[in-house]
Amino acid sequence: VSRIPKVWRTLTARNFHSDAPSILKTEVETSSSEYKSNYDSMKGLVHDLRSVVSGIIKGDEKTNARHVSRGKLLPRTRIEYLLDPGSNFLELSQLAGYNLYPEEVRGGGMISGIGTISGVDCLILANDATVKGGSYYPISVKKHLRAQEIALENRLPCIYLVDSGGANLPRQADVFPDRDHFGRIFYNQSRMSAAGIPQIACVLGSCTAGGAYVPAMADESVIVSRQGTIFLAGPPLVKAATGEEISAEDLGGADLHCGKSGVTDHYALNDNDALQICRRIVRNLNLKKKDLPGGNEPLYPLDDIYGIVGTNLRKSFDVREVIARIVDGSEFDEFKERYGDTLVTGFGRLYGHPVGIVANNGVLFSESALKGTHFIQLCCQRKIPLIFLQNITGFMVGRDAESGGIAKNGAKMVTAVSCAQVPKLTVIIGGSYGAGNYGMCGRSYGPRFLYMWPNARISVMGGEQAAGVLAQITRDQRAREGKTLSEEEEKAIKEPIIQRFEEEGHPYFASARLWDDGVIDPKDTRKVLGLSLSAALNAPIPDTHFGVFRM
Amino acid sequence: MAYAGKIRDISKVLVANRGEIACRIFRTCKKLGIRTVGVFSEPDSNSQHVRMADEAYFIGPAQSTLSYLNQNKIFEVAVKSGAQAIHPGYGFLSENSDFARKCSDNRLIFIGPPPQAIFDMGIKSKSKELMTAAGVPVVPGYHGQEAANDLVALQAEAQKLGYPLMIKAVKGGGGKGMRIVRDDQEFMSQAQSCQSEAEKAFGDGALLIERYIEAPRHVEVQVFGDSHGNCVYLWERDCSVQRRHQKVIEEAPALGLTSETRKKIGTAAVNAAKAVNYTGAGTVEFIVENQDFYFMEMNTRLQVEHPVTEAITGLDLVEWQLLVAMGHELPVKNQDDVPGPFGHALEMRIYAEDTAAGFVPAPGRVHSLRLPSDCRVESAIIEGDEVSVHYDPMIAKLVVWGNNRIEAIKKADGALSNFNVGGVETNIDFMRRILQSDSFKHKIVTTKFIEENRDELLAKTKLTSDQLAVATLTLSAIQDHIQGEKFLKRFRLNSDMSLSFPLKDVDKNNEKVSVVAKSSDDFVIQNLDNCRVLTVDKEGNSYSLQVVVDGKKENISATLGDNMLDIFTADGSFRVEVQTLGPIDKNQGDDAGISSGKIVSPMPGTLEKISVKEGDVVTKGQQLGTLVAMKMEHILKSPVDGTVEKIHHPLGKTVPKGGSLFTIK
Repeated sequence: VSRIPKVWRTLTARNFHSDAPSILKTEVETSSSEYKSNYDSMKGLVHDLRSVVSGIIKGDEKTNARHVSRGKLLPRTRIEYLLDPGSNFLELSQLAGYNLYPEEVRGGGMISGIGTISGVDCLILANDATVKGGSYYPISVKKHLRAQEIALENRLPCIYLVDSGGANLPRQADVFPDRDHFGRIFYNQSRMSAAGIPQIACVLGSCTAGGAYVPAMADESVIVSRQGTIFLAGPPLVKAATGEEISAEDLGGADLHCGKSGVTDHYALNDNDALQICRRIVRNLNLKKKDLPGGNEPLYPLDDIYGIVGTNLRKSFDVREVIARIVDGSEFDEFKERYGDTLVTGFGRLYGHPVGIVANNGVLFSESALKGTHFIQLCCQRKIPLIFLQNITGFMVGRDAESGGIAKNGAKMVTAVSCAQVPKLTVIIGGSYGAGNYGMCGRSYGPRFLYMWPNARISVMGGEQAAGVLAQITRDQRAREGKTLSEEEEKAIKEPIIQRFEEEGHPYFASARLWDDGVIDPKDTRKVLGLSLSAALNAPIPDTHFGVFRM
Repeated sequence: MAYAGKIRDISKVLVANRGEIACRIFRTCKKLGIRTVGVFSEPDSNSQHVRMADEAYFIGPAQSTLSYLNQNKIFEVAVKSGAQAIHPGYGFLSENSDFARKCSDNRLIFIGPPPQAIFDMGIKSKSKELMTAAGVPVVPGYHGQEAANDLVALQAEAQKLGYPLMIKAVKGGGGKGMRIVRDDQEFMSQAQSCQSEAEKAFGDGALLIERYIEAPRHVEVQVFGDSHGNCVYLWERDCSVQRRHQKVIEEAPALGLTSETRKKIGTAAVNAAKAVNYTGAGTVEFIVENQDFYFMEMNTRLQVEHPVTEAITGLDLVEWQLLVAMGHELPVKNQDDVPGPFGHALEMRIYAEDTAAGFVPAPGRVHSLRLPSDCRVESAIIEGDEVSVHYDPMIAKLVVWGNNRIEAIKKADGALSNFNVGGVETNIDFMRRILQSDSFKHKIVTTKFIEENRDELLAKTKLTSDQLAVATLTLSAIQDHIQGEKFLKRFRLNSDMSLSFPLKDVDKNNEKVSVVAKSSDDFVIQNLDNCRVLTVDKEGNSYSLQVVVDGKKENISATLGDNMLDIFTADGSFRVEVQTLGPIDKNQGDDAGISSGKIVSPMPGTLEKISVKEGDVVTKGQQLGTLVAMKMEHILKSPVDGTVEKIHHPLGKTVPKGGSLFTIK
């Protein structure tokens, strides 16, 4: 070494940078009893989730058999045939309608999701005629509109696999008249078409009344001969109105619409034929998808998350252990590590694409909110997508906090989250309560996608707290009247509240009402976020302009 | 011989042939610094022999009579190119004495024996007379001319000879015009049918009779003569493994011959050659039973299977042919100096054929081709070439050498397992079953070997779950490969991707395969757990994969072309048809299975006969016409009762495989 000229030594030293990433270490004791009981309880929830979903996917044997006997494919098979072999399918709103109505409306009567067709990410929306004839319940409309919203925000071509009897008549009041009701579907279709987002309809069954506008307003449409029909009024209504007697096929079949009316463009002989024509249409969209480059898997087993997090929301854990099981190679460059440490912020990569992560590690203080705001600004400047890992009881309360300006500091974070134009992806991994939900990009803050873990809970505050507040109010009232509140009375007030909050904060309850885009297995978080990010990157990232930050 | 004693240098050779033999001859020419001239017919314009020749000339359309058998055209090319000699290869003009004669008329050297030798050996009855005169044992029989066309007289000769016996057309060959007669009663009817067949096929109804040998072996001796009167034998070859009277596997030396017999049969062959003043390479064929041998015929050309002799002697027979043609003496004149026989050699003829359907030719495009290493492959086909419907469907010859027979057989089996042809059906697995059978390994086989072991050799097997799993994994690996790297594959939310799809085996049995993707690359296929693809590499059109099925790791190769997936494993190959999901072609609505009663061509061929008219009423099974493909006739029958609605092609038209021929309504 000493014989190397000094100048050369310095040069050599200057030319080598250490690009070694900072790798998150794990302190998980997989043999501890706490880990094991956590693991088992979370595994139980995941098992329950999978069995609920399995029921939704399987459907009803009798109805399925009837559907297939007509020469039709089941909606999920249709999607499989439509997708590229080996394609992923990120199903959305899988639990829509779950225990929502007295009758079972599986998946809200339709299947929606994102998959690859001819190498292009597409939003697929398939009516499920085995569920109440594919008719639109209020939740169906909501699911349809949510899918379209996702397509619009992420610029995904829409493929509508139509097989629906139209609006559910007994519930027409909750389906038809309002802004975000049935009509919005066609409004969205034309707006998206105008924005250059292809709209493709594949008529595999009936398409009556308003439904007729799905193919009619599509950029390109396909219809299956002797199976698909499109008309504004079906044969019974026609007979009632004009006395004309006509078969459904003659009134609105493929021969008529492909040959005479021009309502549809492509003539298919059966379901699969139609789906393959759809693939051809997508091939001619002249769109090309840049895939995520791919990255190293995390260093630690993904299902460790079960044992780390468990199902008891009162038990805390270090959220870095979760991040280490999401990002590429468990590599995470933390930002402001020593400041506002109840919020963890930093950069990592997801399948090779840079992401900024904002994750709760306790209640939010002023410092944490300021740090979060700063970090969101960085990501927006740099056009780096944001991932929020929500586990938040709320912002800190109390005299110190209020006098420290927690309200205005929290507001800064809410402003930053609201205005951020980079793709935002949110996963509720624990509690999601109160203003914490706002600051951490809850549903109202326009995340491109929002998912919940099965252990998560969402409500304005915790059930205990709400019950406590209500009991206190009653106690105060009684006190003004000079009365007291007995322990039994207090219990009688509290218990139903706690129970109700527990029920309504449950992820199934939330997902059934589309407060999120799906409940996911915690160990699939990396994959689901990867697919969501990949879909989100179909749209260019615009510049962000923030509102006024109260200083 | 006209040029005896005179050395005529050859610096340019025209090869009046195609395929592997043309390439084979070019190779030796190149080694010796001799320039090469090729000729080609229309479908051969891009063939390997054309690419390999220094110069090549177009000589006509596909039909051999207008191209490879067109003597004038070939002489024209010879003159134009300035070639001094013509090598006829095998087949085509190789045993045409007229052609040989005309060569010298055109001042060209015919690389082969003198025309008279070809002529003498070409007529069976004459050759046998000559052989008897030269003391070469022949199968006892009647070869006279008096009774050749007189069946009653012939029967009297038959009674003298005794039964069982064989009736043969004098001009016959290639298995045509032959009848076995076991007793006197059936003689006349068999003789009559043989006579009429001979008249039709060869234009000559003359017959001969011979003792029928129950357990015959086909053993032939390679002889070589020069114009200086030297003649040696280069040991024998056993070509008993035959199907449809065509050789499949040839080996040298023949199993079970004592060294005394070997010497005797060799000497007899040399005597046979000398009897006709033979020069160049020739093969004397014998029927052998135990240590007895009888002269059968002499092939006055270089044989397809000459490489096995080369393998056990280390000689280049084409080089010897050229030397002799130039007027040189044989490099080895003393029989005692002839090298070998060293070890044991086998040649396997790899054909594009459907063995299960009775060894019918199965021409088509060779979508992918992988050759074994460490053995000799004679082929004129490369990946992407067509095995033409117009010519012999041989893809290649594989020649393997071992220190002893068992070693050679083992090596041959191994080499065949690495000989992967995708896109067409081949007889590779069939030959592997022969090589693996105990009777081939340990017993002396006769020409009836394939017939007698048909059930074992052609056993049909349903695809096993393992094979279906391998096929499914391969398909998914190929699809993934085509689509390129993806950061994630086959993800399904809170469930596993699960699908079932149909695969057809070669017998068109539909198998429904169920697949569940536990993750991107971990499958459960047909209830077999732990199925995954470990590595995929692509070279040309074929893929090499390492797969795991039910815990068993396997190296396989595969190729996908025209919806046919060919998979090659150490245990053999199999092929499945993959149902594609493409849209239905509305212009070919009928082919989409909407109507029935359509007869399509089972293979590419020529419509030789149409027996019905449009509007005719036909019954199920009634003959509608005949399709001739690769010298084979296929009778086209009506699948249903009905009326002939349409005849899609005129007589004589060449139709592709799957082309519509008749519509019956």
